[in-house]
Order: sequence, then structure tokens, then C-alpha cells
Amino acid sequence: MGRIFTVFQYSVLQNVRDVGVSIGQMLVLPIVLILILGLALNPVFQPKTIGATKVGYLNEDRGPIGSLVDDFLARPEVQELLAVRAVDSLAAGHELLRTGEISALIHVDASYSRLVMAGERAEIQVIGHPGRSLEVTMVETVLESFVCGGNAVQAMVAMGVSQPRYAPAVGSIQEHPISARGLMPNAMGYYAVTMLVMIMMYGSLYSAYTLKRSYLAAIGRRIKASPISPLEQYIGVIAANVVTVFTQALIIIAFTRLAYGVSWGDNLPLVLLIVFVMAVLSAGLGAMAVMAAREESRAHSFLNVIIVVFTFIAGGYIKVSLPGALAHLQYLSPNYLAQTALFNTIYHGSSRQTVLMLAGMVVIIIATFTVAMLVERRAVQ
Amino acid sequence: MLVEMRNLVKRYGDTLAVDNVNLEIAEGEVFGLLGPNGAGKTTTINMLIGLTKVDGGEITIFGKRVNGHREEVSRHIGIVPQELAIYEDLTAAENVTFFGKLYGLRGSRLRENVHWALEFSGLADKGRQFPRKFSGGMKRRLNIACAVVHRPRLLIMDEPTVGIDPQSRNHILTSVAELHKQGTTIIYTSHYMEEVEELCTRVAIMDQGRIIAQGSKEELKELVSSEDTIVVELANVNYTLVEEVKKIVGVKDCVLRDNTLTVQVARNSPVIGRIVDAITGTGAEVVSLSAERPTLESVFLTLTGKTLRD
Repeated sequence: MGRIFTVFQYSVLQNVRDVGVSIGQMLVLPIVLILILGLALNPVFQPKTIGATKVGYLNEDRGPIGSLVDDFLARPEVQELLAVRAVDSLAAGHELLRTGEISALIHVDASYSRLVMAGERAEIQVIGHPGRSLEVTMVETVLESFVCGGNAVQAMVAMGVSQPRYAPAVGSIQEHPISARGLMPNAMGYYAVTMLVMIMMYGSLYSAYTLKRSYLAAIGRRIKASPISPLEQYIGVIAANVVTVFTQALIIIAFTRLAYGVSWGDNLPLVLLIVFVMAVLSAGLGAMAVMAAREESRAHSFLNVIIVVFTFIAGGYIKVSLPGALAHLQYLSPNYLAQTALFNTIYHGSSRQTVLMLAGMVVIIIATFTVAMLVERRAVQ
Repeated sequence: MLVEMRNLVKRYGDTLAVDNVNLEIAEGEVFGLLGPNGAGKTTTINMLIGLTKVDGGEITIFGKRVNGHREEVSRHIGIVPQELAIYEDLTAAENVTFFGKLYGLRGSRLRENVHWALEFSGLADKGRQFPRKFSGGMKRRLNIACAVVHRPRLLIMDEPTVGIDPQSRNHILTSVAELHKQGTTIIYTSHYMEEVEELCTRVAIMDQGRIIAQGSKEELKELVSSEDTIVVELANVNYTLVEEVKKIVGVKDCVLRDNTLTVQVARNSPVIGRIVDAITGTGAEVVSLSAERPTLESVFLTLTGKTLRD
């Protein structure tokens, strides 16, 4: 145990003294990247209000149901969503659609009340602007609620209820604010997580470097000739890298929390557990690369490529939606697993998914260390 | 015996790197292991310290088999590898302390030994400096300090003076002699034959994975020649002197070419005075006289057919 601690102690000391990497690359770089990306891409992450959708309204029905449609559209809660403008004719409505002054035209046919009361199929027509599908959907959804209410009243009459009244309830929908402290990150919060995970992945280069130096190269061989066992030596070096990367991650978390106001949620122990597992995973990845390559520069090249690929497919640089089966590729990315686990923890997502992501990370850790040990054992023979 | 290797074998694929090597090294010896590149010296040493698996045979150090007692045995061995094996981003003192701790030193004993090792290597005033600022020679000395900090009974030095300045080389050679005086057993490999001549009490010569000769320096020299050569530069040569010199008991041959007389005599014969008397008796004058004996270089050349740097 004492010898493991000696290797650990002096490996940490060397990691810390490598100022260019330990401070420049592993701390300053991510902190600056989070700031730049967080500020530059913040508008993309801000939820927008689409306001009241402008609609034209032509009601040719003079019957009782037609007037109910008038009343419905005049309700304040509907007017928050739809800015209704009466038109004289279908042609006038079409003209407004063409010029883009309205996003949709609502048309109630003259026979609407008659058909409804006769129990026949009746329709309220929505003519949408082809370039404004979101707004058209909004109008359709609002009218759908009216139709559903009408259908409910008809069903009640059929069941013998006399004079049922359709009065939509107000306040039955709760509004959840969307913010960094709520259910979805802003740009700063998003990139704090993705850049943290990315830079921890770059921590694998520490493993490749220190294992090459302290395990495979001349000093490593000299250490192996001492009373320490290869396993103790290996554990000491890996533990030093895990602690170094984990500590750097803690500094980034603390700095982004205090300086940028990034939310790391209210379950800090779980966040730290995920970050620690990620530090171990990063060390395992570096160990596997250098043991397989037996040479630092090739291991570094390999790691530099896969870190960029993993970060990209995990949406680390910018959110990506991979189509179809390609989406499953994300599960191969340690970045994706760690990011998903962190986002779920910080923004109160599915705890089951967090556990699954952590399990995936543990599987990768076992795989990388197993490959590293098998390759090393073969090399010693 | 402190070190015993019996029928040691190491194969890499079809290549027999070490072929049935038998060596015995007694406590307190400085044992030279000589051989051209690829002779199997480093492989033998790596097997000795447990870095390379042994394919056949057995190694015993301090009376214990290395296989099965590696940790116990390695506690008392110091290694000076051929390549520099020090951390550039730890200070000299930290490097020595690190290796001291690996060998189980703690507390005041660790501090004392670190101080001693740095002083021994001539780096006592450089303890707080980083090796990246050191000359090649100073790095080599630090390489040695890291190997001796735990005061090993057996020190293995693999080419410890490669590529360094004469001052550091002298320091290292003096240090090795000092360790020998203190009773440390040393296995020393080098390309520099004069170092081996100066330091080693016994020598083994390896070639193509085999030990082709071993013994004391004198025993090895006996292998290639039982004669000494005396070379005399002359003036006023009288051509009867060859016959006069040949009459001396102990002289085996005598050749005069230009003004140089080359005399072959039996090893360690006390005949130089009589040769000088014979020369001056003929009226010739002795300008200079030198006695040449076989060197390890010539032994090596004779046995392997190549020079040590081949």
C-alpha cells in the first residue's frame, strides 16, 4: 500500500507541475470555451414566445352552434393564443393568407349548426399558410378543443342530461417555466456539461503519457525492477490520473457555478459520482490506447480522433439529431453517456436513465482496463 | 556465491538470445560483462532483475531463486540502466527520495540515505534543481544516485558512462571503486574496455548469447597469449645484437626492423635488465623501451573476431 501511495504521490506531483497541460489545457481552455460558446449560442437555447397567432375568421353559420364558435374565439384565454380578425369572404381570407397577414383562415360553413344538430358530420375548416406549420398547428389545436367540448355535450344529451352547458375550465393547465434552474439548460449550462465531459475525455491523454513514462519507458522498467509489483505500479499511476482529472473537473464545476452562475442541480453527490466515474473511464481509455499502441504518439493520435468523434456524436459541440439507426451510435460515446447522466441529474430527468448511463460507463471502464491488462500481459511474455 | 545463473536460456521466436549461460559471481566482486551489441548482455541482466521471463535454467541471488522471491531479492539490488531513468520534472532530491521510498526507506533513514546518495554522486548542492537543467554527466550521476540510495548489496550498472564528459566519467569510476571498497558487489557492462580493465576483478565475455570466456583479467589474457612483448627503439644499431639478445634465457624470439627491436619473452620473466645490458654491450644505444602485454581489447578481438564497438 505504501508503494502504491509513493507512485501515486509522485505521479500527481508531476501532473500538477506540468502547468501547460494541467492548468492551460485542462482548466483555462474549457472555462474559456464554456464562456464563448455559452454567450455566442445563448439565443439558440432560449425558449421563445410565439405570441398570438394571427387568424382570419369567416363564420357563415347563423345557427346556435355558429354563435358558440364566436363566443369560444372571444374567450380571453383563446385570445392569448389567437388574434382573430373577421373577414367578409373566403376570397378576402385567401388574399390575407397570400400576403402573409394571417397564418390561418378559420371558416365555419353556413350549414354547420344544422348538420351538428342533425347528428351528421360537420366540419370547421382551417386553411393554413404553407410556410407556417407551427402556427397552423396551434390554430388546429385550439379549435380541436372546441370540437372535443362540443362532442362531449352531444354525448351528454344522448345520455339524457338536460341542458348541459359547455364551459371550458380555466386554470386546469399548470405552466412550468423553462430556465437553467428548471427543466432545461441554457447555453452556458449546456456547454458547462459538454465541455466538462469533453475535457475529461482529454484527461485520457494524461493516462497515455504517464503510463508510457512510468510504466513502459526506461523509468517504468527501473520501477518494475524495484520491489513494487507491476499491479501496484499500475494502480498508483492510474489512481494519480483519476484524482488529477477529477480534481480538475471539480475546479471547473466550482468555477462555472460561481463565475458563470451555471446550475449543477440540487443532487451534488450524484453529479460528483458521475464525474468520478467519468474520470476513471478517461483513465481506462488512455491506458487501453497506450498499452495497445506501446507508443505515446500513436496513442495520442488515436485518442485525439476518437474524442472529437465521440464529442460530436454526443452533441458536445452543437446539438445533433442522428437519423434512424445512427442514433444508437450515441450510446457508444462515453460523452453521450456522461452528458445524459449529468443532464438527467441536474434537470430532474429520468433517474432510471441516469442509472443506465452510469452502467454503460462502468461497462466501458471494465472493457478498457481488461483490454489494457491483456495486451500488457501478452507484451511481457 | 552471491549470484548464480545455471543453464539460462531466453528465446525470442526462433532467435536464441541467451544460450545456456552459466555464471557465478562472488560477494564483493566487480564483475565485468563484455560483449558486442546484441550479444545478450542486457537480456541476461533483465532476466537477473526479473524484467524478462526466463525460458530455461535458474537464477539464484543471495541464495534465493529469483523466480518466486522477486520482491525479496530486488530489495537488495540497485539498477543503473543504460538509458537515463529519472524524472525530469522532479528535483534531484525528489527523484532519489522516490526510489528510496520504493525500496522501503522511510523517515530519518530515508533522509540520511538521500543525503548520502546525492553527496556520493557529487550532486549534494543540486538537490533542489530539476534534472532538465543538468548536463548529460550530471544526469548520469543522478541515475546512479537513484540506484544506490537504498545501499544495495548488489549493484548492476549497464553502460553507466555512455556519452558523458571526462569529469563525470572519472567521478563515476571513482564512485564504483569506492562502492567496491565498501563491499558492494557490482556487475558492470561497458563498451569502454579500459573501464573494465581498471574496475573489474573478474570478466565474462558474451557473444551470440553465449559466455565464450570468463575468469580474472589475467586468466583471460593467458587465453590468447602466454608471452609479453618488449619493444626497444635504438640508435647506433649493431647487427650482432639480435644474436646476443636471443641468447638470454626467457627470450623466445627477437626481430630487428629499422631501428626497432621487438622481443617476445615468457610472461612475467624478469629479463628487461639483461636485454638492456646485451644491447649496450654491442655498442648500440637505447632510445626508449616499452613492455606490451595483451589487453582485454586484444583478448576480445581474438575470441570474438570483432571489436567491442562492432
